[in-house]
Amino acid sequence: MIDWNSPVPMYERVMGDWYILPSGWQEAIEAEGTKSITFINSGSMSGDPAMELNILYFEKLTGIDIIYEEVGEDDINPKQVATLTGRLPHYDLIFLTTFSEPLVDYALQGWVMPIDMLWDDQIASVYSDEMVDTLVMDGHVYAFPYIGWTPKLHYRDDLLKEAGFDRPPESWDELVEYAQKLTVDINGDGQVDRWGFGFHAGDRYSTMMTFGQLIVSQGGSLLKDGKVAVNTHEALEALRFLVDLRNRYGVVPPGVNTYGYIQVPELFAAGKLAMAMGPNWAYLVIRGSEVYPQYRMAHFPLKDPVGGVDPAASFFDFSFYGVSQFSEHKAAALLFLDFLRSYQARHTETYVERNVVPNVLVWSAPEVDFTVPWASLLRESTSQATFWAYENATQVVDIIHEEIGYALLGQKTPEQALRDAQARIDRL
Amino acid sequence: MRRFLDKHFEAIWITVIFIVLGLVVVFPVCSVFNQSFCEVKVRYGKNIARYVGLNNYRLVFSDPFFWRFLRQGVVYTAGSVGISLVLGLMCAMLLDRIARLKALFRGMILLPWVIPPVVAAVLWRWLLNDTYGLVNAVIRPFHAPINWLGSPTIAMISLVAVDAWTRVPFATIYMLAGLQGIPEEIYDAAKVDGAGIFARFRYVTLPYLRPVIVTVVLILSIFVFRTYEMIGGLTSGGPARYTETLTSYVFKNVVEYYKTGYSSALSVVMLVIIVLFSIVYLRAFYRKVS
Amino acid sequence: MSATSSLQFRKLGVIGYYFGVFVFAVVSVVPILWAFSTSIKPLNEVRVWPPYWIPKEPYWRTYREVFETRPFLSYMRNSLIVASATTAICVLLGGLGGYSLSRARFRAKWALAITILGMRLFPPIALVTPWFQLASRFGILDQYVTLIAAYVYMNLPFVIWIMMGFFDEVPQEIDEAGMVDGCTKWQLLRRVIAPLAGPGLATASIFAFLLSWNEYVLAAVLSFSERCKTLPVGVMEFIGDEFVAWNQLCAGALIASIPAFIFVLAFQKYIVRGLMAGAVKG
Repeated sequence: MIDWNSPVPMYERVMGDWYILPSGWQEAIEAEGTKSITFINSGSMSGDPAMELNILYFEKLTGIDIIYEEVGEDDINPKQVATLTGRLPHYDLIFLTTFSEPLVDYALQGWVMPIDMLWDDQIASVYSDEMVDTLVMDGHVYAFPYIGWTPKLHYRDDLLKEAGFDRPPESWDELVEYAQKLTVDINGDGQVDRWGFGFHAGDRYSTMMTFGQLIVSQGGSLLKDGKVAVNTHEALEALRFLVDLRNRYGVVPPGVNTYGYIQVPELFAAGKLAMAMGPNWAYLVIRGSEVYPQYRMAHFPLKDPVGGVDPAASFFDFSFYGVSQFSEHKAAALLFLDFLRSYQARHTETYVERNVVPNVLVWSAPEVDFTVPWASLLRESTSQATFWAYENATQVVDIIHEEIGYALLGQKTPEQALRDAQARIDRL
Repeated sequence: MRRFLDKHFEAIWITVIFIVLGLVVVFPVCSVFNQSFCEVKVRYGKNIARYVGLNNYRLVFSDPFFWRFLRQGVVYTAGSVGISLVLGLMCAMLLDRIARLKALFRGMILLPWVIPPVVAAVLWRWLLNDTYGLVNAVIRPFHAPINWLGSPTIAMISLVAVDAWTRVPFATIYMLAGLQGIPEEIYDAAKVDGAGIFARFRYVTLPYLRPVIVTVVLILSIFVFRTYEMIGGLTSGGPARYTETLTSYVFKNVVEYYKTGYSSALSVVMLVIIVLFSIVYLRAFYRKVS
Repeated sequence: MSATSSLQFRKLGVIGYYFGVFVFAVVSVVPILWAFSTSIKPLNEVRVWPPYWIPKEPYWRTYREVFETRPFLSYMRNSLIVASATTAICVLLGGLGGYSLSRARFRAKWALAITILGMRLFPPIALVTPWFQLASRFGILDQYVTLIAAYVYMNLPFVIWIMMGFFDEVPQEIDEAGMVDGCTKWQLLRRVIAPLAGPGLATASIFAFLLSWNEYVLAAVLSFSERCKTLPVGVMEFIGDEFVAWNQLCAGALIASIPAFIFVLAFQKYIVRGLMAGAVKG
């Protein structure tokens, strides 16, 4: 009933400054008898003003009531899995991520329906090539990316200059060199007062982001022929790097194996880290503190700057929205999804909330450049966004996190850890 | 009618209770039992259940994670219950004796009980952070920072300590009640017989408290063994899963690995373990006081 | 050692012991004091090193903000309703059930008692998904009924068990004496047994109330809006996707603890008076 390519071709309709509803939408909604659709919003809505704006706009535009449930990150999965295994229509839109509510697994289990009608080649051009590779599974598209984040390098300009460095490190060797100089014991009591560097490897999500970025900064990939491969050269170098930073050079606090992506910016803000590898939105945490004027963000250094890898290569994690296979309001849900992925909605997301969206067009808007901190950095990152989706994602990530944990504790060598990880992953 | 109600008073209420409890629990428990004998695969929107008999149970017992998490769970439970018991007893005896400052002291002891455990876990996680946490800040002049949550053994100790912190008030209250029930005359008689403080404790207090201690240990063990919020909030399973227990493993299998059959079998095994423990424990320690 | 010095040694030991316990109590309160200190700091004073206790610019508004940014009052109302209802039902049913089991004469009595307790031994974590699905199917998600039912299930067996042990210590003769006067069971209960049951019921109700007040996992899964979310879920909401609002979290946690604290203080003085009977049997 809905013609997604009319009144104007889909790309124009969706990617113009203002979203245009597809023709036939009213009939479709009436035929369905939909009054409202339900979905989960990660975290409370007061932290998502852009989503709130988008919802309000859509409600006004279509008259469909959007009911959102504000659920904490850890509680999303039980509710969605319970709904979907029970084949219940409770949620219309499904919240997906790379490995907590894994995109691939949900699609394979038939929990989200294919939404090929919302996709065509022109729409694909709005996302980076790697993103398109991941979004299209077996020729079908199941979800649209919502917002994402990538690990970046954060550093204290004043401390770097004090130590004689006038630019951020641009290779891993330089990072180690800087970190060693910046790890200081100020009051001479034998305890380190400020660490040169810090990263997060405390829970599986944080570990994967760190690990993934390190692999991407070498131009490598976690996937080989569509299967997860952790026994690669790049993965080994990445793990060796992490282990050495902690156990050999001693430039990161030993507690890195407990830090999440929330702790690292806090540590930086408290002045305990001179440099850090943390989320791109770290400035939200750092900005109230006294170190903020000296705070800078940069791309995470490549392992080897002359290797031909783009310096902006960024490993991203995205959250997605798909449509539930068991929804009783599919037309309305598709409509809302159509709106959510539109330029207008994405633009609101970035402009209002400074979130990183994978829609490349948004980053060329001048007002975004103006208002989003480090917009150029994020634009480069988005155009080089890499992100992997694979089957059995949660188990894979649990295994990787555990083995990396053993390596960090020094109980296994990096080679051993990765070998064991690969063996366990192959057995899945 | 009234006569009938009166005569079968007890039976009626017992039935009512069974119905109330059963309503809530019969269906889910049966479905879990049932699923433990199946392997449910979900493909393309269809739940394909295959009957596999005892295979899931075989998998459970051959799963190294099962034994490891069981062991870690037992260590955690024993540690927390043991500490709570000892500290609870000590606090109860103090509360029993002192006259002044009783209210203040009682308030202080009870406070950790009224904070929701999940919030307490998050708070302690912050306090125990090795770089900017309060605990390491306090010991700084005396000792190098300790990686409270990142070193396997120390993480378990931290977990046990924090969990005990939330359980001590319960133990205290219960044992205080028990202490207050010991007739003063027996103490006086013992004093007359020349028994010193420690002897009085050993021969009067402890025997009288025995049933209370038995109860407290049983209740606490059951609760601690199945705890989920404390571990998730404090260590997320710890460095490289060194503080993870069966409870979170069950949850993971349902909600993240989608292995409903396997997780159901795990739950049943957990139930059996707890039941066995309770039976053995009660048999060994449950005795009436003369 | 002479008699006097060994006596002094003992006295010192005792004083030392009491001192140790006192120290424990103080240390035990430190995190709560820290939570209070954090709750009156602005966020930028929370993320500092080294941490300090007295804020430079005390920011009391956080306590108001807690209610302004989240529907905290609703959460408190929900917690109060759910916990009170659960406690009331558990105490009523548990008292009657405990009495019945204690006085029951048939052979299956112990089997029944163990079955009731056994129902509770099943790990609740495994019941989360089936309960969610049931509630969703009947459309009672995010309703008090669901949460109360779940909490009653979680508390009732223990309450029954506690009360049963308690009633076992109340001699049967009292029952018989009451019955002789021609009372019905109900009258007997009301006039004779209930007053004696005070301490047992007090313990049981503290137990049930606190468990329902502080429970997180079920409340989080079975509720999704301010219509039914309880305080623990509400307080955890201050942990955002990107950062933790520590001052609000601590303020919220302290506010959430106050009703529970009042309840415990109020009821525990009833236990202290001679719960001996129930404690002895367990």
